[in-house]
Amino acid sequence: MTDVVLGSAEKSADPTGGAGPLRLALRRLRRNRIALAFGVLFVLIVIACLLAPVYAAHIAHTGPNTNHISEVIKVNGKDTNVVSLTDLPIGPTWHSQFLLGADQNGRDVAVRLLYGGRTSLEIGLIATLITMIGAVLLGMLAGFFRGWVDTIISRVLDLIWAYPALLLGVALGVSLAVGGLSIGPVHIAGGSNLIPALVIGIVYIPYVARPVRGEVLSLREREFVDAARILGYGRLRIMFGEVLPNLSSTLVVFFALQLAQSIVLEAALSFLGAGVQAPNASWGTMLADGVQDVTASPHLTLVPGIALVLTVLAVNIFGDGLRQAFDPRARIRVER
Amino acid sequence: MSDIEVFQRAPITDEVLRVEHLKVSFRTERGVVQAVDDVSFRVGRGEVLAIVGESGSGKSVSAMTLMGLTRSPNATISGSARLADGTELVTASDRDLQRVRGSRVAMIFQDPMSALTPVYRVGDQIAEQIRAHEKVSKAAARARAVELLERVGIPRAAERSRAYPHQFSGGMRQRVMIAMALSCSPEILIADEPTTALDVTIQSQILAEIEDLRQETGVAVLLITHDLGVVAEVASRVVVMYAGRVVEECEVHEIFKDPLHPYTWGLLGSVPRIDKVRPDRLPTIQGSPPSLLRPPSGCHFKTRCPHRFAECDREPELRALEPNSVHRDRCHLSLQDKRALRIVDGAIGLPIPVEKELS
Amino acid sequence: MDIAIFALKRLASAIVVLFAVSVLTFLIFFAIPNGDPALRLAGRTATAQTIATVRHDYGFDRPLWVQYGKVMKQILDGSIQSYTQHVTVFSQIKRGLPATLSLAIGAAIIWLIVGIVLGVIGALRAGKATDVAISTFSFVGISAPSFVLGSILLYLLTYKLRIFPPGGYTPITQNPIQWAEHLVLPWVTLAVLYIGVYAQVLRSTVLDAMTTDAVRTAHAKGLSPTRVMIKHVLRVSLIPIASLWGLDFAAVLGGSTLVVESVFNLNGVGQYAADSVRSLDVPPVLVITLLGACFVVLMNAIVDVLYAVLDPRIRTTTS
Repeated sequence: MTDVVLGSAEKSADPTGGAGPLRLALRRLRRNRIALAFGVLFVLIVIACLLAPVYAAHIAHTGPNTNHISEVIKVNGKDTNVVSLTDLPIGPTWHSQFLLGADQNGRDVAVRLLYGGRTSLEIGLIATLITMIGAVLLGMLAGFFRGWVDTIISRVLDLIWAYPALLLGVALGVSLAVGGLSIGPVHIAGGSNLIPALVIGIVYIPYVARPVRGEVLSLREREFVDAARILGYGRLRIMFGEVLPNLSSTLVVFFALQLAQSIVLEAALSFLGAGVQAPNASWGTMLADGVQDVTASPHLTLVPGIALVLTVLAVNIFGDGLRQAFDPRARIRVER
Repeated sequence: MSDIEVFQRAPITDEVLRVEHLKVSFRTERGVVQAVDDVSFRVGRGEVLAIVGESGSGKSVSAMTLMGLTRSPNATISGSARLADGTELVTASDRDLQRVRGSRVAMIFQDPMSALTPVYRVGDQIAEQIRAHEKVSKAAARARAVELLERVGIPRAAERSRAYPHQFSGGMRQRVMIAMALSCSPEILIADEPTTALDVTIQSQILAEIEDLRQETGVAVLLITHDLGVVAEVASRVVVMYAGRVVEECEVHEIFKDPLHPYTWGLLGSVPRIDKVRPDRLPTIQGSPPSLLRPPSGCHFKTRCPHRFAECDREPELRALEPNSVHRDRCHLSLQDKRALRIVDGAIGLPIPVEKELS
Repeated sequence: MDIAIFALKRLASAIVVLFAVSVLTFLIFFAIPNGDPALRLAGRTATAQTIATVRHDYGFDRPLWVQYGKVMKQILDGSIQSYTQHVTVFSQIKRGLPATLSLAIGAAIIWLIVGIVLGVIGALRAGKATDVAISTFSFVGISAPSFVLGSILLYLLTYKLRIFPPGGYTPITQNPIQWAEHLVLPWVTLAVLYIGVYAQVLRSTVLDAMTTDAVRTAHAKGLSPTRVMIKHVLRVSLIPIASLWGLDFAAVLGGSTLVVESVFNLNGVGQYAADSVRSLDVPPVLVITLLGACFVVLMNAIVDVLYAVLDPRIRTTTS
């Protein structure tokens, strides 16, 4: 109750200081130190992964898929096999090569981690873009034209929604992994990273399209849309010129949260073998390899595992910060 | 000035509520908001006292504070609010307050559409309140709920008591709220904008209902409203609040016949009238209410008052301008000046603001 | 009576969706991908003989709708089989079901209870240290994929500290204590994500509910704070949780068990699906996908009916 009261008392004080919603949101975000810290962490992770070739060429002096299985390196002055005679790879060292140890094939884990991260982030980003574009188009069409357009789109979304996300991802991943996909003149090979990106992007469309549709439905009843209609604006202009800008805060928030979801789903699909296909590496495939040997070589699980959790955590917390900044009244509901 | 002096001229002898120097402030991110600033008033047995003001004037906060509904870690509340037997509401323990709520002081709210819990039958919600205060069986409490619903004019009460809130119209829900409020025969009914959310035709029915029940049960009513039409219809006395303070207090007929505070003139001038030729534009009070974070020094209304003069930087007292009068206001203008200045185009109001004066 | 009609209507629409799900699943496996479906179905180690059998079983030279009919017939009469292992898919699913159900039901109960408790505590202590701790835990839980968390728990608690037995599944009928011992880590692994989600959802719905007019009325009635909290705040806040729970349970049963069962070697339906994915053995993946989606659709219908029971507003507006 005090909230209501304060609201009315502050109204007169004009707490916004006349600032636009974007500036207001950024101001709120700036005050959220924790969210900002995790945002910076995410940027650092992205930069590190982008610099993977630099690290590989100038520090580790090896590639992500180069075997050193029968080589010997000096660790603390002692000669050590990269992969021991009992098939045990070396763990983390203070050596510029094999900083985070080697895997069963004698490959440098640190180099693979950075390259794998690049793959994971790329797939996550492309998938999120596909989700957002698909969801905005479908949600806006359904929400704005209503009638049979809405009915068809909503039913299709419901249908995709009916599948557990991971299961649908696995089904699509498996069926596309062998022969790839042809859409008209475009052909995507089965082993391409675009396949998991596309699969993940499609799987999550309903999760964003539904709330977008709901918001469009309420926006189209607002006065500014009526005004645009009276001014004789065309439907396209109303949708993209008037409605879309008002969706921006919702979309920004969903973008961040979807990015986290997509990175997790990529890892899960790759872990199961329905995502990134060998010889490409991602955090998911590294984990799939590592988990088989978690007792003997825990670093093969811990290294990509911690990288994955930190990245997703950073995106989630920053995304939540965005949500609080853009939507302090928690209007945007993330359905799962 | 002492407490006795404040009230000695009042005719009320049998009072059910005495509020003295009530102050409520909230700590917010942006500073301290003084929502209620030294408010005193009394409610006599069986009377209807209206508190009038804009949103943000502190009228709702005052009312909710009486019920302890503004208590929170960031609220500071001081002053006193005593019931007839001396029960102090401001400092009461949460437990004691809980016993008073609903049984001795009851409250109905502005929006009846959301004031009831959606998942329970209305009869059960009334019965719940009865059983919170009296040792009666569930069946007996339910039977009383039906009686109460009948009394507030709900047709087929026995059947309707088993319906859910969403199955009632707004007006009917407000009747349910009134039935619930009266279920334990309270001494005071606080009605916080009880008709604001309702259709105009329903409004007067609800007001008539409250008036009937007041006469029947002798309950005192503290009516919070911004609507002077509502005041004219049911109130016996009026307190006008502005920016957390009482700016005028009088019998109901005086507020229309002889309003003393410029803010009240503004309120009266803003009401469209059917008995006068309509001006091109309804006069309005220029500007907006001051920030309660940093209210202006002296008279809080001075920033919007067309009649301000040097004296207004000094804080005015709430005082009677004529000896032995219960009509009091908080303004430095003399009685003669007030009576001369308040007439604009033959009616009471503030002059229509000139655009360039708006800052 | 109202409820019964509503339930029937809901069931009818669920059947329509089930049909659509079967068509879409068929398309995903047979029509959308490139290349010869017989090759895919026959698995990674197919012989020419197997491929010929597959082609005959499914009629890949016939029109799509005939193929659909053949696939559905094989699924419905239970004769669909894995060409990699030469066993029927349903015999394998039946074998794995007890482990999968034990995992999903146990985890669902844990996350419901713990999620509610943490969510309510978070709301009551909003802004205090306890709330921050719960939020932090929730975020980590939401952000840690179950196979990462599971592997790390397995490594630490089983191999390093030797508190829990290494993976595997013991039927409850054989030894209830060993059954539970083997399932504790998988339960926790699966539950942590949802505990995080439920704690956050409930925290915000409870906080919202506490500031509603209805709750203000409840306080004004003179009810005790405990009664207001339980009867007026929680009762309303738990409605969305009830529906969420049904849907998440279905999603977990249909999806998340794939990963967790593989990590802990539980040999349930999920692991069967995961193993099939690795060997690109399509029939089991097809059947399990279909079953998972069907289960979600049916659960959706059940949840809607449950919702109508819990919330009188839905009941009257839909009937």
